[in-house]
Amino acid sequence: MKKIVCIGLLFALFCAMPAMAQSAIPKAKTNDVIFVYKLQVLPAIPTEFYLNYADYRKTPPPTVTQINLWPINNFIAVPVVGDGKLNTFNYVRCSRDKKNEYQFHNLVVRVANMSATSLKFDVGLQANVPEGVQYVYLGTFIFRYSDEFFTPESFERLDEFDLVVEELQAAFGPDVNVARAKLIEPEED
Amino acid sequence: MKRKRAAGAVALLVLLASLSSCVSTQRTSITKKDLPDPSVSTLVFGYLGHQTMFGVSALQYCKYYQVNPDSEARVIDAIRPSSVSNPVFFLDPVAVGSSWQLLYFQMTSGNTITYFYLGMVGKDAYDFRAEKPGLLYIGSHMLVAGATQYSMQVRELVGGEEEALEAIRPQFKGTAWEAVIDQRLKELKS
Repeated sequence: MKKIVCIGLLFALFCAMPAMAQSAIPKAKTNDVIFVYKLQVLPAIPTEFYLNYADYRKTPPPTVTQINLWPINNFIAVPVVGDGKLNTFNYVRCSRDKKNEYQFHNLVVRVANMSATSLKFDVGLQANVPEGVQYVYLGTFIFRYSDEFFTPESFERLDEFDLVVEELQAAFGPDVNVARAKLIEPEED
Repeated sequence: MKRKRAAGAVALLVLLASLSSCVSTQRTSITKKDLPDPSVSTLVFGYLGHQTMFGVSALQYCKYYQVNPDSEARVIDAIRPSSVSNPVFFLDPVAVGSSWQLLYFQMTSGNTITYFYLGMVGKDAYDFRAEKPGLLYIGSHMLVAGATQYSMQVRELVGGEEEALEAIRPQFKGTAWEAVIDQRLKELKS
């Protein structure tokens, strides 16, 4: 009986692990780079209104952000997506490119987590990463719009590197290996 | 024997139910019951199609979403009055003050279905704000294949507004909209 209870407890812990991993900042591994970005939409999206279009029973689906980014020179270039949140630093794990070059394709907001009600921001830049760096800050991106059609007013990139360093040092101590990405126009083939 | 027949009937019903869930149809007509009056609503019509070297066909399952948070949240499927393959379309009359974006359609080519999610950033030429009551011709918009991706382009067809109105006219026979449509047709012909 005790054995069954133990197995049951272990199983419950195992099920809870992915949820725990998501809320904490992921720890970098040797073959990975962890990209950091923040996305803001101003004025705030009326998510309550868009929930009317979502199909759910009890828990309303969250509004999530996604990033499309992939290593350019690796044989297998799987884009990372990683669901994140608006207005906070999001950490996404990506396999390390052998020349430290990544295609930063776009940023997406899935309002009420639906494809139909999504906002897509094309970036189309190459992100170059300094050799050996584990945490790479891409930037804080702010999209401003003027009306109900999300008519763009501006799409800016701000530098909040100091805040990222602060957050990472609070989690992993002062020796954390973090740098800014260099965003450049991709080279023509 | 009787029991076998009953079992057969149940099996047939289950089969039909499962098949019917696979087949969804596109709207080709409007429900005249509770039709809003032309004095307080906007009737939008035009063309949403796919243009290839072989001709023009209709985009399938076009869905317009109401995006003004001060108006009612609602999705309207485009109605194809002529046939599901003809690009002429119209929507149920919508309340003045509401704003609409085309956010989804699909296309079938052979055995392949492509789903298009257009995204909400920006007002495209086929999106609209119902600013005043009456008719609103939205123009002719065609999906065209480029070298690497598709794009929606304004491509006016020969018949234009007049042909689209002629196509939707029978749907509003006997309603208050008939006179409004006839008036506009008269203007276009003169």
